[in-house]
Amino acid sequence: MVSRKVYSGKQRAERRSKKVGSGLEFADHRDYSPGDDFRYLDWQVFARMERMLIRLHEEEEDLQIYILLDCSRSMSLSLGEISKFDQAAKIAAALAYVGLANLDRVAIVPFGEKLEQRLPPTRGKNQIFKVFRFLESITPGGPTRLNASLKQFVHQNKRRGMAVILSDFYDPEGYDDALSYLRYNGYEPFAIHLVDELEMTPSLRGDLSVVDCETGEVKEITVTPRMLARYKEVHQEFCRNLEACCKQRQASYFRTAIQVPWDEIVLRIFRAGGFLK
Amino acid sequence: MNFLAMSPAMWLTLFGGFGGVITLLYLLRLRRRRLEVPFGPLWQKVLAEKQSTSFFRSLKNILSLLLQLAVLALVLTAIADPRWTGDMAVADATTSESDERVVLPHHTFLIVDASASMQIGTRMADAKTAARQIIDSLAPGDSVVVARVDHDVAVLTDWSSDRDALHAALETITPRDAATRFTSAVELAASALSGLAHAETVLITDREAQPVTEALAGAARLRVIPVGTEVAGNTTVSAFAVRSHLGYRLEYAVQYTLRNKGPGREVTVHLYTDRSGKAQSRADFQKSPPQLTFKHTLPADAEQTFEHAGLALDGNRAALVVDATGDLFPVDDTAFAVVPTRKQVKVQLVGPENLFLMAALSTRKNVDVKRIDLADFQTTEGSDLTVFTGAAPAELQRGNLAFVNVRTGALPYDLADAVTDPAPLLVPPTAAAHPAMAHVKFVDLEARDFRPLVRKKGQEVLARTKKGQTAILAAATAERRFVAVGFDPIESEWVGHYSFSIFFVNAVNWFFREEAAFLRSQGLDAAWRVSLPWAAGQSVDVVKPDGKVVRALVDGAGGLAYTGDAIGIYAVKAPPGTPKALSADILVPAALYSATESALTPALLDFVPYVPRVETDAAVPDLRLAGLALWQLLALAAAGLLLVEWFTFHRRWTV
Repeated sequence: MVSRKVYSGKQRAERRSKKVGSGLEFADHRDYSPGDDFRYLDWQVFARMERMLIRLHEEEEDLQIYILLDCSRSMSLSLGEISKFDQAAKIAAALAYVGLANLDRVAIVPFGEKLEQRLPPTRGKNQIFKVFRFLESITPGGPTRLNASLKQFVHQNKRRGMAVILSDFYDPEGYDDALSYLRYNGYEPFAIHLVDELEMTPSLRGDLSVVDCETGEVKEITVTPRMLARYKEVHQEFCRNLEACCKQRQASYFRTAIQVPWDEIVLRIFRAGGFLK
Repeated sequence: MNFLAMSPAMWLTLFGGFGGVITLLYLLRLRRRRLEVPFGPLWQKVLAEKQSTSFFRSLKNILSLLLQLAVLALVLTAIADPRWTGDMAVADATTSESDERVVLPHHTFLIVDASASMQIGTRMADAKTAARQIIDSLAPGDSVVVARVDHDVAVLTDWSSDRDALHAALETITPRDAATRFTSAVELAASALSGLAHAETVLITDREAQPVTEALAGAARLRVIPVGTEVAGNTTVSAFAVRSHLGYRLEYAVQYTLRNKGPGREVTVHLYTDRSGKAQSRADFQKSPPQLTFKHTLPADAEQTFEHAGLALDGNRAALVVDATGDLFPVDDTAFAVVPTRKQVKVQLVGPENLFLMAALSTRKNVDVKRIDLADFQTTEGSDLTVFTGAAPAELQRGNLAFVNVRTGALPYDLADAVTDPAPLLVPPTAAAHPAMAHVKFVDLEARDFRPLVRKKGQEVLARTKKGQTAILAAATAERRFVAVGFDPIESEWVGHYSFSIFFVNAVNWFFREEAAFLRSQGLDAAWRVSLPWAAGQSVDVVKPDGKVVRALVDGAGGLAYTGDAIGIYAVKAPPGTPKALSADILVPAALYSATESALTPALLDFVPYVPRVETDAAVPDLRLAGLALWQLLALAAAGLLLVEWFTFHRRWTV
């Protein structure tokens, strides 16, 4: 997985770091000093310039990948066959696998009103089953408080990395501060916005009492085609605003409908976000 | 405007009922389906843009309900078949013959006189014929109530247009033996007709009754159909009583009064007695030949009283039947009376020697008086009457009791403080009808050595002083009957007064209900006044002369709350649980005794005669618009509003 920023990792992985080390990629030359390893002498330079120079290589370090999974009530509300949370979990598993295969450190951090019990950073492909079990154990519910959760996340984690936020971003307090926290604390945020097409264009009619599944607030409405069209516009505006906010904070943004098969979603994410090199 | 098919009150009732249901359903419809959504603020944003606080917006919220109520009002008004009867109803002279007219419904409260006088000749048949003509002339929408009146009114049908049902009710009317009182019937009719525009009361009668007031007749819109003609002559029994002879109780005196209307005539009076103890009607008595027969010559238009004394009569009841040639009204020729029972009465006089009292009690030959001292007194059982003088036992006794100037012992009444000043005695008007006070008057009598009696609930004051202090008390309960004298008869010099003996003779008669000798026959022209020995509020069975049993009550004053409707002897049965001493039947003889009814001369009453309706009288123009009647226009308007409501509802304009 590719990160725009280079983060210092503690272990060797496949990510190039700016450190000069014992990797395979040539980084630079320096003068030979007695005691240096003769294996790293650049004999070609010596043949041309009769100077004894040592080849320096880039140190390959691991990337810390935090998968922030929204497990609030709105994610589990399903108007169709599949819920946003189910799809998000699958995407999280796929991303985690890619990261683990890359020898990156992957942590899964569920959040809702606050950070929930996390899966600590883990490394190695054989940890994927641990990831699966952890994802299966998560029970979504409760309200969404992005700002408070990500603020807490930032304070708890000293090691920076990539923060992949899998959410519908339905937070009454908004998402601006949350993205800002990540961005300005050295994280590379990646927002994957999950949208249910049935939510965007609901097939409703008549007199209804709509109840916010997280706050319980009730609104009495009479749904007409005109109102539905307006609601769709409002929803699209919401998505556009989120995208604009991510762009402002130089956070990657990817929006997908959950009706798309999850494997297709993952491929699109990788293509669109440049996750893979 | 007139509503042919529905009264305004009914319209309002239906509108209120159905309107309430519509409103309830509307409110239930407002209950919305709950739907969970993931993010409410998006919907909030959509709604905020739509919200408007304008009056029109608020009105739109209930416009659907208003439209539905308007539809209901139009439908009900159409059903009520409105007809314009305002100024527009007064058509100008050029109204064409082709204009449709509609007859407004008419309501008739039909009262048929079923009193005793309607038995004469063909009066009842003529009345029914007139009633049938009224019923047969009913137009569609008209309605009639059939009622019967004699001394009371009975409504036989509800407002009905069903001719068969009305005829059937009419056929049940037969003349009874009671006199006529129209007032209650006309009052009922006036009440039934209130609020009805086209209505009247029709009374079919031989008019042998007291007239109703002009105001009441106007309120009831009373119209009269007279039947019957004057009858030349009639002989009536206006009074009849059998009394045991004052001196010798094994013989009786019979007294009766005959009234003759018309020319003088010879009459034969038959006196029947009944030995079976069961005869109640004239037919029952006439199963046996009369015991006595008297002949009289009655002068023209005169009333005479006859008395026959020293008669030995059999049985406990008697009937008097007058046989006058050519008499068309047999009902008032018969009267009934109860023959007082002959019985040997045992009286124990408890107290010091009192010759005056002994003499008074012994006036009647069937009374055996035995005197004992209070110390020797054991029980009241075995004696028909126990008289205490001066003192009573410590334990309150049961049975028939008399207390004469008793100051100590257990008494069924209370005593006030002694009065030192002599107090003049009098019989209050309310006590004059008591059997014990018959023919008793206190003239120049003062109560001396007097402790006023304190009356308890249910006890009757028979005599008092001018200052209101009770001097003589009487009461009858399930446990005891008693009379009490609160003053010393000797000191008061009452013993030398004629009323002293009469009082105690009356008292003895009352104890054994021999007041029946003075029990007047009850007339069938007024409410009965029959005194009963049982507690108020109890229900009793009354066996009528025809053998039928009806339930009646003992009223608060101990009287019978019932008035009969046939001549004869009524037997009032004691309520269940009555002690044996008080459980004998009370016989009530009843005769017509109505001068008005027996006059057989239709009274010269001012009345408005009934005139059959002419169909065009109530006809009003049936106004139309484009060939449509008003109700049709209203129905179309309702349908139009329904369409508007359906359209706006589906367009979500009115919700």
